[in-house]
Amino acid sequence: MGAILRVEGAKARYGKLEALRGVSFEVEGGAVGLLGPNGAGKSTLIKAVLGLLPLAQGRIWLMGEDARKLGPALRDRVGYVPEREGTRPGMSGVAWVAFLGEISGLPRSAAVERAHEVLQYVGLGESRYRNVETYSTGMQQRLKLAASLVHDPALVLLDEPTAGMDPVGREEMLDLCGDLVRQGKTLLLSTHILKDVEAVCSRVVILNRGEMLSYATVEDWTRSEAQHFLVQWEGDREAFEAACRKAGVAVSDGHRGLYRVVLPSGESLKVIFGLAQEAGGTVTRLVRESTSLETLFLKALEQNGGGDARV
Amino acid sequence: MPVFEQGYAPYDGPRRPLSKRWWPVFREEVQPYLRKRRFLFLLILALLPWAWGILLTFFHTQLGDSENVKAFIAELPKVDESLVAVLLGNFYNLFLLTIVSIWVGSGLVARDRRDGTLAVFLGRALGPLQYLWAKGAALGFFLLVFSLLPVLVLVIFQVGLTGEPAWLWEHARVLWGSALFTLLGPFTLVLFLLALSSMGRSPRLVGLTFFGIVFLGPAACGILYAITRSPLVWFPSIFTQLKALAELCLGAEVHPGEPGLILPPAATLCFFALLAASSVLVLAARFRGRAVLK
Amino acid sequence: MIRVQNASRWYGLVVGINRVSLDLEPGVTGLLGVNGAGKSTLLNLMAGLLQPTAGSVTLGGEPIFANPGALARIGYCPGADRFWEDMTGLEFVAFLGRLSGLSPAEATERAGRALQEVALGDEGGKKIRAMSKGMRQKVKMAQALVHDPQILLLDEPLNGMDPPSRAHAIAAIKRWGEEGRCVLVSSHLLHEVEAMTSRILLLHYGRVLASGEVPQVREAIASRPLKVFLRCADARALASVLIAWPTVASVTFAGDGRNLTVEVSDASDFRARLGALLAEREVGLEILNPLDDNLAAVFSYLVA
Repeated sequence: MGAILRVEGAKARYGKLEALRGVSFEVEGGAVGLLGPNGAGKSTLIKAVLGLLPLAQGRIWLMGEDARKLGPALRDRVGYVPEREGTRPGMSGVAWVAFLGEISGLPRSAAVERAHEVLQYVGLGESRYRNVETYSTGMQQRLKLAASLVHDPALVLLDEPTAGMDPVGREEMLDLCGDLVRQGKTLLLSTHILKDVEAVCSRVVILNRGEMLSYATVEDWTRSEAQHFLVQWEGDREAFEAACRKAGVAVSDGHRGLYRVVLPSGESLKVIFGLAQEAGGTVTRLVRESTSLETLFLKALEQNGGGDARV
Repeated sequence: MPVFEQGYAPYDGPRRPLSKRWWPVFREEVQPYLRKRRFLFLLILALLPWAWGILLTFFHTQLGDSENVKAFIAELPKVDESLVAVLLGNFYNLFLLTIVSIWVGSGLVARDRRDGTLAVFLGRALGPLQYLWAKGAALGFFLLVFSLLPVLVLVIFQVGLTGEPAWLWEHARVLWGSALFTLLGPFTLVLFLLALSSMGRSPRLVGLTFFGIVFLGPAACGILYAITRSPLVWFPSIFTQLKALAELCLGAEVHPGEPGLILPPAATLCFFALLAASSVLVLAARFRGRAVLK
Repeated sequence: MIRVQNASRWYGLVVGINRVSLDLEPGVTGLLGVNGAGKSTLLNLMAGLLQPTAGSVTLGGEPIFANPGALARIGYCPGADRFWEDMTGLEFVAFLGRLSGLSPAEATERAGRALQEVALGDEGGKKIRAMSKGMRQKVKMAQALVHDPQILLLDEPLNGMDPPSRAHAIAAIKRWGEEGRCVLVSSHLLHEVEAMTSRILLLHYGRVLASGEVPQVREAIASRPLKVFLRCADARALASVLIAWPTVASVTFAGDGRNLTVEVSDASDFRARLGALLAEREVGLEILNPLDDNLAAVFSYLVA
């Protein structure tokens, strides 16, 4: 199957401001994170994919079809979970979602049925008849997700989907995103919270100042090097550090007892525990050191000149 | 605790064509008003004079034979262009028309902007033109109650009670004049309110602005008239212009005896043309630049 | 420094906080809880914006409410996004500095420094209207700092910031804690709170559900034995040794036969024994990871 979304040389501007300067990438499926400092062009790209902002140059293909040729019909195939936009007070959850379903082309009875289904799916089953203005922040976010799914789009664009949600709600929202990916939906997740991206996405697009810095995969940010470990130490830190140095084990970064340790090649972790006994303390955690998405992202920005980082 | 008790199911049923997407927006705009008793009461109030018109029709057509009442009936106003002009262009009808315009029209776009739902709608396969058509049609639907609809009912009664379409050929102007009035008057108001509503985020403020334009405007014109005695000062007064439009379209005076058409016909037509054109320009500017989403 | 003694704040039938007692100590404390748990109420009480309906909220023995002396020592970064949009960032922070009693010159100078501290030095001269959400947050943080308060109350300060700004802000908050200020940070992002501090205050429907260092809180949750994850080449052999230990409640295999999840009733005893065992025996260990002594696990055990 071809790519769900393909962006080629996208250039867009607001008046004189060049918001996108030639972004190109392809999404076959799964969840893709969209990262970048403020003003990088993330919302511009989302608007362009939705067909709400005409491109000055370049093309966007949705499921193999040129977005320009599709016109407004393209928004029947794309769902959008906006960061801020609201709901109409006075309508119940079901009424609202069914209404939006109808606008997206579903006949009335089908829209109502689907509204019930998607509200159940996102966990708002019990609150479906309540007026939307009585919904809490977490419920509003889930309502927006339901509204974005009612017309069964193939691609869903999410803008800060966990904004304002408490840890419980966040986890549920990310679970839902994960489940959507398992159901075969393609997700484009724009957010500042890197942990969200790590939880859900298999690839990331990193934007800065309208340009695409990198299109990385999950392997890129979970890479680890052999013999590099993270050790959580409880006990006399100086003794541990001394013992490590004596044994030729490189050790650094003792913040709150969390050390980076590099074993000489060929050595096994038994060495560490031997040193631990020597130093009279305990190792409470030992894992491979791997890069994180944050490191990847910050490095990409740095190489590009810092982006908005100072601002 | 499971987050999802029911898995996600795809939809492969039929989808309505793009051209029909305005209907749900129209329906959801109109329905809440039809449920409000006070609003329905207002509509009924507006229709009362027309009920009188139907009664007149009844008198003229059914009771014209009896000797006792012949004289009485001869004194009653005839059902013709003149009657319709009065019913359409008198202050009572125009006043209620304005009230309903404010009630329904001020929130057309402003409410969606305030709730943040305008972007939600336009983010679906519903273009700005369809959106505006749906909203405008909602207001237009109600304004028909003060214009074409009761005229049609009156005509139906007239022709139905006599069984002869002769009246219709004689008084064709009643129909096409009313249609013209509806098109140039109330429907231009719809455009105007759409434009006004797209500029604000508070339906109350939009309503207040329109109220000021419609009611305080004539007050200012009145003062100017007292000073200058020139009928042209009434140009910006919507009430006067609507009355003049009724007189123009139906070729009869709203207040028989008083000098009608204090404004030259060209001025009236100019006024509504200007109103329509400026409204369209405002809407085009707001919606094309997407400024309305802010 | 701030002492909350049996304080309650009700909004009619709705509970804000209910019989909360705590002492805010120097260093960084994370304020956690689901939406509606009472975090904002507590912050507003401490910032002197609300009066408790019962109990007291005091600084140095005096109630904070309507007490300029106390307020001068407190910096509050609220959650709401409300500014005088036509001011520049610098003007705004300087103005608020003046409201805290600084002279005009001092206020401007300190405002400049505060903005530098939150990495908004160059862009501080922009009008707030033209600022992105992240920049506005930084202005909020700067105004909390401008009068150099001993106590900082931050309500979701990282909201809307992009990843580089978040990293910078977390470092700044840690620094302020190390400087000896009392910093209370409310946030939903547990991994970020963990990066700032290990001391937490967890509210739930207006009551304090847990307070203290995360490891101690974890140990106090007696109903949940600690789960430790081990991955090694010789999992079977290791498992047969572990299961014999009295503090090991259960051992479960998973994955490709190399993954062990061990439920432990006494964490420190287990660690000591395991340390000794792994020091003398080669098992081809790859990972040793306690699964639920982190903040996310503690939170979900207590709240969810």
